[in-house]
Amino acid sequence: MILDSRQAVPGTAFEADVCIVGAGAAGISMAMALADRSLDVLLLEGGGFTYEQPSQDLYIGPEEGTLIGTDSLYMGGTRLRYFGGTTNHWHGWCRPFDPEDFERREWLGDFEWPISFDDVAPWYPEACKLLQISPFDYDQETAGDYGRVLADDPHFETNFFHLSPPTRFAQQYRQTLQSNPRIRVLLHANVRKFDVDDQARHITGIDVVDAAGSPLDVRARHYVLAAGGIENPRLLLTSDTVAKNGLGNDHGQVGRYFMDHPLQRIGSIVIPHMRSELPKTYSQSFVVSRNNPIQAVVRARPEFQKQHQLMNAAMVLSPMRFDKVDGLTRPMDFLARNIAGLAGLESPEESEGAFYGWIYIHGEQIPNPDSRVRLSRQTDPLGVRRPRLDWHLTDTDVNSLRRTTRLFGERLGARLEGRCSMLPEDSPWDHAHWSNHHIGTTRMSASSRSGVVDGNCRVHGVDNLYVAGSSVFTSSSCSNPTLTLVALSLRLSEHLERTSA
Amino acid sequence: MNRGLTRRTVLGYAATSLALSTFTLPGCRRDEPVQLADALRLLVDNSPTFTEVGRAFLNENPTEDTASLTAWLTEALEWLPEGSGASLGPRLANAIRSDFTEGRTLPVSNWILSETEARWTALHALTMPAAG
Repeated sequence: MILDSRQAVPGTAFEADVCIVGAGAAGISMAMALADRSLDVLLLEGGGFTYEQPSQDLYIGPEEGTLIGTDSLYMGGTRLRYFGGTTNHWHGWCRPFDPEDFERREWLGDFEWPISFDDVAPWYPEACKLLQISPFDYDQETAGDYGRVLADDPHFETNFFHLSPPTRFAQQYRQTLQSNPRIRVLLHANVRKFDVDDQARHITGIDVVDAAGSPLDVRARHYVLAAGGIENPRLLLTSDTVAKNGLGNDHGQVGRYFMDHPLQRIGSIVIPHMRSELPKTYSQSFVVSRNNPIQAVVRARPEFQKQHQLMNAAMVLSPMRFDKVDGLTRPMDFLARNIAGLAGLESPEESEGAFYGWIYIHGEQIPNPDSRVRLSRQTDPLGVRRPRLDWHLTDTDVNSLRRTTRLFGERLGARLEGRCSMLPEDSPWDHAHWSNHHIGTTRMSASSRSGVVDGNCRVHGVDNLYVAGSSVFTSSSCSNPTLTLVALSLRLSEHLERTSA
Repeated sequence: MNRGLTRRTVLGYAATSLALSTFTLPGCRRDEPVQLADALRLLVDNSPTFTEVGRAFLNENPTEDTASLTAWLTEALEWLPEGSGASLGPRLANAIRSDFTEGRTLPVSNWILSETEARWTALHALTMPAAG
């Protein structure tokens, strides 16, 4: 059932086993999974069915950082506050995290997930179904017959993103949510804070108002924050009636380690001896089987990342239009072709043409405690303190992306496959792009001293409050977050079923 | 004084003295003197593009000249003209491959090039006979 709080009969009590805050990818996935497990769900959504400016404006707050200008609308423009959440404008790139993302990598700092890749992996197939993509079972098989850059190289490999249609959760699952008797969706239900017992160890209620500010009576046994990587910490911080620093924040961890995926067109590439499949492999229209479009990327292998102390990054080789080729691109083609010919690899006469492309790189950021979401002094029209974002690219982030590209270029040259260019060492990165991914602000940790939620996504020190979404990621991988946040949400659903039993 | 520079300078004179060598280029008389630049030029498949890359290198490295480039390449390629011309191509490719493998690269207009290939193009740009 889907209700609008503005039409709710005054005095109505909304009760459920689980109350989820936020009807985006995490919240909707969880609602359906919990209902399948015979739990009653109340799904609170602050917006309505469509974009509404007054609702969206509740996201705005002060923001600053390396990539954020004075007139930036990062917080107001990179997420959407209505039914379906940010899936209403996502691009659909999906790829599981890599096993090493969950491992301790001492060169990146002192942090560690309390779970491993094997804890998440069983949930990926179901997450793939929800996101309307095929399972990830053909990286080395089906696509192996197609051309690849640095094929069989010991240091770099080609991996694949699957491209979701992209699934618009609001449209795809609205009917399911509407018809499932165990699910109630309440639109225009704005959460302001959680009420707790006198030790701040148990959620006793939730402060929810409709768009006009009238209170709604909502009660549940378990509460799940699934409102995104900025709102999740915001609501923990505003819940400060008993715990003066906010919930789960005994050690000042809430809101820290904010990460996105910096995206930079870092250079260009020339591969003289094209196999005809190569541009197809690296373009977004590549379909290998089951009508599943995929996007190939090149990535340093885990051992090579460790050897060179690199962060996880993926390079997209985007084919360049030949009429856009300039500078030394064509001369580099001839140079590389000439030298490969000298080595007897392939004579120039046998060449079929060349692959010219741009190199876009996007990668993880180092978890930086100074990149963070806090509460500003401003309040929104509902009386909730607005979020304040400080987000920075560190030298470690930028240098790792540069070094990855340089090493890639050197491998291309060493194998006499091609050449690549890259931005000068001293070029500024303030024109790089962000990827609309809000990660790390309620991160998973074994202890409340180093994070906000435990391995089951439960807020440290609070027995019935959980967090779903990319804010629980301890590291950000080079993969886009949606697939993994859905997988973790499904895993949390199973945990809540066990806990409720 | 910079030791490398001294060594290069010495090698530069050595390279110049290669004019006395007996290596023969196609179309040359057997006793006609040959320089490394001439031998390298025979390996170039597309002269204008090599020149373009070489000029870019020289713009960014204005202190390099024919002597320094010849000296550097003579050492890098272990250029011994007597009887070595036939293997120059593979040795050049191997040197370039080794440069990349061992990180001996430099930027030329932001392209990542091996030190050997970058200097090869520069020497080509400096020594290529004028068109016409």
